[in-house]
Order: sequence, then C-alpha cells, then structure tokens
Amino acid sequence: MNYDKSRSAIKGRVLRNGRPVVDASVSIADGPSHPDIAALTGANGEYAFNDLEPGDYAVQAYIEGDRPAVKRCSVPAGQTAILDFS
Amino acid sequence: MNKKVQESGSEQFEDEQLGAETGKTLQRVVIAQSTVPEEHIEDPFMGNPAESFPALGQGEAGDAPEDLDDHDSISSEESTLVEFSPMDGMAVGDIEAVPNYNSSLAEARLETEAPFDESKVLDAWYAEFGDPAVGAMILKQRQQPASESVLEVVIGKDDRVKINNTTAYPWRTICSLRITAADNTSWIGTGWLVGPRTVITAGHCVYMHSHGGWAKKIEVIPGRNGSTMPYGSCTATHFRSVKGWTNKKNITHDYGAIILPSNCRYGDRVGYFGYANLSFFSLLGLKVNLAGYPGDKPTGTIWFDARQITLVLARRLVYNIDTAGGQSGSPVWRLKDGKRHVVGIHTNGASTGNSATRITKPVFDNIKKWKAMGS
Repeated sequence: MNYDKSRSAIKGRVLRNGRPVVDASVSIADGPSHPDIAALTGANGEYAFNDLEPGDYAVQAYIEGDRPAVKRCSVPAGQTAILDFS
Repeated sequence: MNKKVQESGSEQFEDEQLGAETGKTLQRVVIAQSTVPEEHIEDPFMGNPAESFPALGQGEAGDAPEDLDDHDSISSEESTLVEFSPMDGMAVGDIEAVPNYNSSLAEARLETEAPFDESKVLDAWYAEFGDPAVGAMILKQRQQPASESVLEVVIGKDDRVKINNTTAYPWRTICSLRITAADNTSWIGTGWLVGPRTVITAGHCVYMHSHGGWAKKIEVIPGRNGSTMPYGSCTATHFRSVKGWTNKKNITHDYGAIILPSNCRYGDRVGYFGYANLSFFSLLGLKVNLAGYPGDKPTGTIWFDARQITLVLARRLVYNIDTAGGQSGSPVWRLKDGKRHVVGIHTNGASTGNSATRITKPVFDNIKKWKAMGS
C-alpha cells in the first residue's frame, strides 16, 4: 500500500479576533490513517494537510493557553476541504 | 491470506521489555502466521547525565513481493546504497511506572475493548493492503460531498498523562522535533535517541513528499519540558530514510533518522533506547509504551500512554494507545526486566487504530547502520 491514490487535502487558517495566529498547532484528531504529525501555522495563520485518504476527519487547532478547538469535515477523493478556525 | 509473514519470524535486539494476551480478533491472524522465532536485540544505554556536555551545535504488505531495494538507506546529502546485515519467548511486557498514570486502567482497558464484530474484521484487507486505513476506507465505501461542520466533536477518552520529570531515563532520550520543511512550512514531530548522535523518527518527519522532499532543518530538543530545554537544542541538516519511503511513499517503509552535528553527542549524556526485531508471537498482545510530543497539549510537553499491540502485520504494528499529531516518530517500546527496547516507530493515527512501522530485520539493520554513522 502506498499513498499514491486519489488524494485529498484539508487546509485553512487559524485566526483569533480576526487576526492570523502564527505557530498554532494543527493536527488531525480522528479519521482514516494519516501521518501523526502536527502543522504549525505560518505567517498568515495558514496550514495544509495534503496527501490524505478520502474520508471523514476531525481536525483540531491548539493555541497556547487555550483549549484545542475541534472541527469535522468530509473530504471526497481528490478534493480539498477548507477548515478555518476563528 | 497473507503468506508473506515469514520475514517476521526473524527477531533481533539491540538493547531493552514484553506482554502477551491473545484476543479473539487476533486469532485469525495467528492462524496465518507460521514463524520461527528468531529475535535480535541491541541494548539501551542509560547515559551519564552528570557528565559535562560539549558546546551545542547549530546546526508488510500482503502477498506482494517486497523490493529489497525499498529498504536501501538514502541520505539527505546523497543517494547511497547500503547493504544489510541482523531472542525469543512469550510476549510479556511491563508498563512504565509513571506518576498519575493508572496502569491498572490500561489493563482494564484491555478487557473492555470493543467486542468482536465479524463485519469489521479487516485482517484480510490488512494483509492485502498493509494499512488498516485502507481496509477502513474500503469498508466505508462512502462518497460524501466535501462539507464542513462547525460542531465540536468528542474524540473519546484521552488516557495520556504528562511526564513531568523529563530529565529521568528514558524520557530524556525522547526528543521534541521542530521541523522546517523544504517549502518552509513548519511541523511538530518526535524522535528518540538510539546512539550518541542518532535520532530515529518517522520517515515523513525527515522526508515530506508534499512539502518539497527532504526537510530543510530539524531542531532536536531532548527531554524538553515546555519552555525548559534541559539539554539545550541542536539543529540538524543531515537525514536518512529508505527508498521505499522517499521514492515509493510506502507506509511500511515510513522511518528515518536524524544525524546530529558532531558537537551534539546527546546520547553520551542522556543515554539512548535499545531496539529489537521481535517475532510475531513476541509482539502479539505485547504491552507497549509510547511517549511523544503532541500538538494538542501545551507546547513542548511530553505525554505517555500504554496498551497492548492489537494487530501484528508483516511490517506494521497496530494499537489503541492514545496519540495526537506531533507524536509521529515516537518510540513504541517494550519494558522487560528493566530494559527498554523499541519495537516500533509510531507514524500514523487512525480511527481504526494507531500504528507504527514495525522494527523488522531490514529496519533493524538500517537503525544499526545509522547508529554507527552517529557514533
């Protein structure tokens, strides 16, 4: 098995009071098998998980000092879900 | 059914423990296994924290035949061909004595696993595809429109506990990783020392296919505890993985290494894990420990959980130990007779079970080789 199938992606931004949060930690909390790595948001609060199996996911964003926020999305094969945290 | 499990009959150790209980769902896997126990172990080194430290630098996949080249080691500096070269008993392992961690709870959880459900038996799928996620995906067979829900979800009970004394062995040998990918995106991962200057981690922490390939740099922080870095940090730019990962992106080959700068001999001071290539029967039901640096907890804190291995595949281990993004590369280790041997490298989360790259013979051999590179 390898990852070269019709891949899906989840991307978005982490905002607080309308402003991008840098270095927020974003990770996949539940879903089909995925690399258990966490993204740190960039200068615009952006993150992206590419090369995912299609399916239902729960994604969580953690900003230091806050409770992780969790959102769900469904991503069909070859499509990208946009998931913003604000 | 999978006939290619012979490889798992060979076991090797390089220094550190076991557990075994066979659950109902595991029986049909057992039937498929006809292994000859042969294990290899390389033992751990507990380090010498009192020693002064030099200045820190900057710095199984079913019936399909495996291409042996897939385990050829490859470095971030050049493509190199590496040659390969490689105990026994029931799976018996201990859970680490961690303050606030209720190991009896872990035991109890073993008995309260979801009941056997024939409709969810995935071993045939696992055997064919090697990855539980594929089986789960096939079982679902659902095509849903892209959608977003703003509802918060309850993921389930989280049994992880925070490790506070991160300067004690073995916690100090586990490293927080801050990864800068080739495309300048930043990521959190985990690694573990296996030698003076060698940190083992997931392949996808050193080589990220969708982010430019080899990582640009990785900051390695052993024993990190929040903002406290008891041994400082080192930035590494030399990485190793195998062609099965870098060229083929095969989950069964998702492992790699970070070679620390020459003035960053962390292992001499904090020690390192042993590692072992254990037989199928030694792994099945083994109680294993897992600790790493997740992204859903306060930054730079290490979290621990333990549980039995629920499924042993030719090149993967599956368990229900709680993990979160950032714990990729974490050691999955056996504690036995006071020794700790890593048997898997945590790489994947999944609703069907989290999983690790199993330390099989070629993985063992590469770790040994990479350890020598950083000695």
